[in-house]
Amino acid sequence: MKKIFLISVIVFSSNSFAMTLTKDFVTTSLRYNTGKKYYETSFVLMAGVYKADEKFFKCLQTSLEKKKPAKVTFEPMGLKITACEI
Amino acid sequence: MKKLNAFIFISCYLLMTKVVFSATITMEGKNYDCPVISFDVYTCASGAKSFYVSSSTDLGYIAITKDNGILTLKPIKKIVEAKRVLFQSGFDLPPYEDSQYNRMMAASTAISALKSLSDPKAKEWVVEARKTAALDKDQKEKVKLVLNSSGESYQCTKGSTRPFTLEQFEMQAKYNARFTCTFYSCTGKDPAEKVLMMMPKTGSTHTSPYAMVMKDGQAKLFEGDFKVYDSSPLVLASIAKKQNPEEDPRLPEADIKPDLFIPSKYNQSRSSYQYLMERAQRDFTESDEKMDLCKDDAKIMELAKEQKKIAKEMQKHLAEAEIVEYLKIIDGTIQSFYVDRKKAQSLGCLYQDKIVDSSVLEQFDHLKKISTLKSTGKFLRPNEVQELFKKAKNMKDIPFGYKYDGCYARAHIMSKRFEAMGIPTQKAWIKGGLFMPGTDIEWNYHVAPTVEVKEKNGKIVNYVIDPSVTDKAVPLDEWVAAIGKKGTGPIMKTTYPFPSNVLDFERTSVAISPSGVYGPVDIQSMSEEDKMNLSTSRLKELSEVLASQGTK
Repeated sequence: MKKIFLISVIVFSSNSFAMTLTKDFVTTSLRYNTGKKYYETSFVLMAGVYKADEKFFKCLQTSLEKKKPAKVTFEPMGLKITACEI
Repeated sequence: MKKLNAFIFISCYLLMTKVVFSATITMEGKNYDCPVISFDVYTCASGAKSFYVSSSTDLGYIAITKDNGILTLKPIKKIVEAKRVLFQSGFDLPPYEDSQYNRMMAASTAISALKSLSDPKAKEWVVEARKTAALDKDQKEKVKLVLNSSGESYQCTKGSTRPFTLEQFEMQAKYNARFTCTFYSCTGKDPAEKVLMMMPKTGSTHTSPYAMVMKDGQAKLFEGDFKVYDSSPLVLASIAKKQNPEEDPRLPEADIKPDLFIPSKYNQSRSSYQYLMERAQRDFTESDEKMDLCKDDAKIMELAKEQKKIAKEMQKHLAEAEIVEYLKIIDGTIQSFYVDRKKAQSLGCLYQDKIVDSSVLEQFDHLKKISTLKSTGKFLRPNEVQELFKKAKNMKDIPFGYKYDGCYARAHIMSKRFEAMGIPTQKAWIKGGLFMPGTDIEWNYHVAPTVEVKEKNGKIVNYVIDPSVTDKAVPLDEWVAAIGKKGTGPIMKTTYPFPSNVLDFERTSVAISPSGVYGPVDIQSMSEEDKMNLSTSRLKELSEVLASQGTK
């Protein structure tokens, strides 16, 4: 019973809390998607298109203009940016 | 003891008031000694001339002065208080020009900055400013627009304001504001010209006036450098020429001159191109909001429609614009961009049908190395390439199931392993607005290893090994077809390095590079060991992401 409980806790927690990664990325392009209302963001070397809410625009723009890395936190499944610091 | 503390406190206060609360203010090249008379307001005097300095939202600090008996605003260059620079402006603002618009601006600034002062002169100026402000009724219905550069003049009619909603009535009353349509439709000598002008209400610092002259699908934008007259002898507004950021010596020069990205067809629309494209990208949502109060005015709406039409045509033209690749060293690496073909002709020499900037010559040997493919003459048979695909798919340390990113790491590890098996390998690149159909996966580029295969008919074909995208080894064209593309323009086959701005011209580009090339921009300083370490750690991390999701 205890085992089942532990397994369900592990399964539940891995599904309910979105995993995030934090990386130092340099922005290479920002493109606003009018329909989806987010910025499609590209970073140096990264192939994926990351999705950034408007509130992260300044941070990502600073990285782009100054060619400096920003500390970007994102959900690896879906590449949604959840934090940006520079 | 209490008395002593009070004495010290009062002494310090008096000392600070005397020492700190006075500033040296620089205006029009002269320094003035200016005591503080209220929070953020200074009073300055030199001989018979005296003025006030107050903080201003858009200009930092502004002087409220009187020239020839008229309240005037002048920019402040610097404020030094007790040897500490409190404010310094790097902008060289245009000289003040007397106009009704500027007088109203000066009056509203004087009222808000000086109304709480007990100084008799401030009180006198506020009374005067209120009289001027009282003249600022609704915007003029009929005005004349004159462009300084050409001398062309246009008769303009203000757009009618649509009936307010209840909420707007309440807002207007609450903030003592007057909502009105701020757009004018104008006509000149040339009936083919369609002109839309926007003049914000006096005192508005959120929007700048502009005029858009449209003709034959071209649009010229004037964000200043024009005058507006009404029936009064004093000009209504004289809008100074806005400095072009490209001409500002304080700003770093752009890596590529922005004009090169504007198709030759729109040479006459240079001034409006970026303005219209930015709005078109946002589907004119914000512009429509600004025009909402004018939506019952047919003429204004027709001009707005014309503006949108030109912008949409500009967007559409990108897919067919004649472009060429332009190579230049930026940040120490060779980078490629699509630019207008005509404009780029004189920018450098031709290599592989690309224009090469002289900066690339110092790395020309490296360019040849990364852009030239040498066939080894060793080809796989069709069945061998499928065997290779299976081997790749079974590489357990490569998380093919994670497709959002990491292709560069997968491609590099696979390539090096294939080469270790004695199979000459290259990399196939695709760049553009890419996606995996039926998923939320989007890429700005994608890469996978490719090998040469001798087909049964003797033809040599590049096959791509990409278990993240296909379920078998496929010819390059099939691999390209399997990936979704947002670009409406053609697929451009090119060599490495491929252009980074392909989607700006609605294109998708495809290139093959030697296997040693790692990213879309080749960084020479990155050693093979660095590339392997980065790939290994990235793949390990992505495997962990998949494991956390319960997939492989």
